[in-house]
Amino acid sequence: MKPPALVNPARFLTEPVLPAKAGGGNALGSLAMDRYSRGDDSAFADVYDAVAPRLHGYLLRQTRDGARADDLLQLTLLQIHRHRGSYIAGSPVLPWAFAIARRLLIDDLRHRKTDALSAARSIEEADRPGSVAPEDEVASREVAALVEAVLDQIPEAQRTAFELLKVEGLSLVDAAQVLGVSVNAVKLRAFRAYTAIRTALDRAFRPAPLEEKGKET
Amino acid sequence: MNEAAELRARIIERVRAERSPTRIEIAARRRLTMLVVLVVPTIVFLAWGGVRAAPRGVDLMLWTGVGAAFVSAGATYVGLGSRRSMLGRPRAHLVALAVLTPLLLFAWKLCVSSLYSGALIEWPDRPGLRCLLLGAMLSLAPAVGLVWSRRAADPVHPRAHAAAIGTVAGAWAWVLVDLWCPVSAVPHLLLGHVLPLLLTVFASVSLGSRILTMRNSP
Repeated sequence: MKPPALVNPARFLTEPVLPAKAGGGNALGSLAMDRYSRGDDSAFADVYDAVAPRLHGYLLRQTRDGARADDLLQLTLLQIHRHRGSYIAGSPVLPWAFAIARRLLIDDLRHRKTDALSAARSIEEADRPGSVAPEDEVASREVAALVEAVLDQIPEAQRTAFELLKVEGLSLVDAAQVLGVSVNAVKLRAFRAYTAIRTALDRAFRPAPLEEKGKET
Repeated sequence: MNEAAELRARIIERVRAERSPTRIEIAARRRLTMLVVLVVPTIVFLAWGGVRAAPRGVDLMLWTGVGAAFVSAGATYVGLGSRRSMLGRPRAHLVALAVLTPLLLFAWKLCVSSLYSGALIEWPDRPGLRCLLLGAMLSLAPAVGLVWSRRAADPVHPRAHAAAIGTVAGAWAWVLVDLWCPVSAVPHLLLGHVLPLLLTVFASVSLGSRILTMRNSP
């Protein structure tokens, strides 16, 4: 199988799979959460705006079910609300919110006895770049499907690290906090995921062998 | 109103319908918890007999006690310090804390005692059971209090978090037991000083992993 002309599979290893979501910088979220924790109830809307879009995207990708994603988002924000009094001023809100969402998602999966993580992700049409030629779109979809297949096979720890960094766009520090491990552990897990994906992509897009080229002449 | 705006409005409405404590209220509760965490062991310690230097000597007691307090303070900083993060330290750090703290305390006690002639002799009538009981009683209230004050708040590693809490409670209990107990013999230390710390960690993990875990409750 020849690599498509305009799509470089290695792009997936160096660029986020999805474009960065607008809104919700950690600093804004922290300021809003600080106000909220002190009792300014009107600040909750700002906390919502700071974290909900990215959280909802994450939950939607993990569950592939709009209603479940909405419910889990509500539960996550309720937990943030219930623990607002213990919020540490200045601490980043986004990794905390992601960690809560992930915990609730895992609990939800256990209750439902399914593995949504293995059936979850696909790149949504809405997140694709607008002007992509049809053949490039097909090629992109093939590469994405291959990446998905590899992610389904690798250990959960590596898959989660990869998703948090490359799909959700969290920083190394934030991803480490969400997972409760060190930054080096996240790097190692993500590197192993990258290696597995790169090996699969190299194998799938290996150049044609020389004897075939010799036959053409 | 589109779906996203509807969802936003619904969630904000739902949150408004439920009251939650603010930082000031939580701080007041924590002060009360700290009072229990500090006062109950103090009362137990004083009722048990308080500080006893003899027959080991005041300087040996101070050296071992201060060193143990230093280790316990370090364990408190690592185990309970926030690092300006709602998610605490990595799991591996907390587990390392639970493993290294008893080792450090034991090593310090042994090393300092070995510098004093006769300090490591065995006391046949003091196998360590009273120290075991005292250590367990001193660590119980702090461990339970700290776990309870953080209930349902850990979404990442409740077991490791509980282990850290148990380690800190057990370490400070070690300090008090050390101020009371004059024995430095190895079998006595293992039964009467190390074991209660390990039991506190174990109990904290058993209890705390359920209480600390953030649950899916609408």
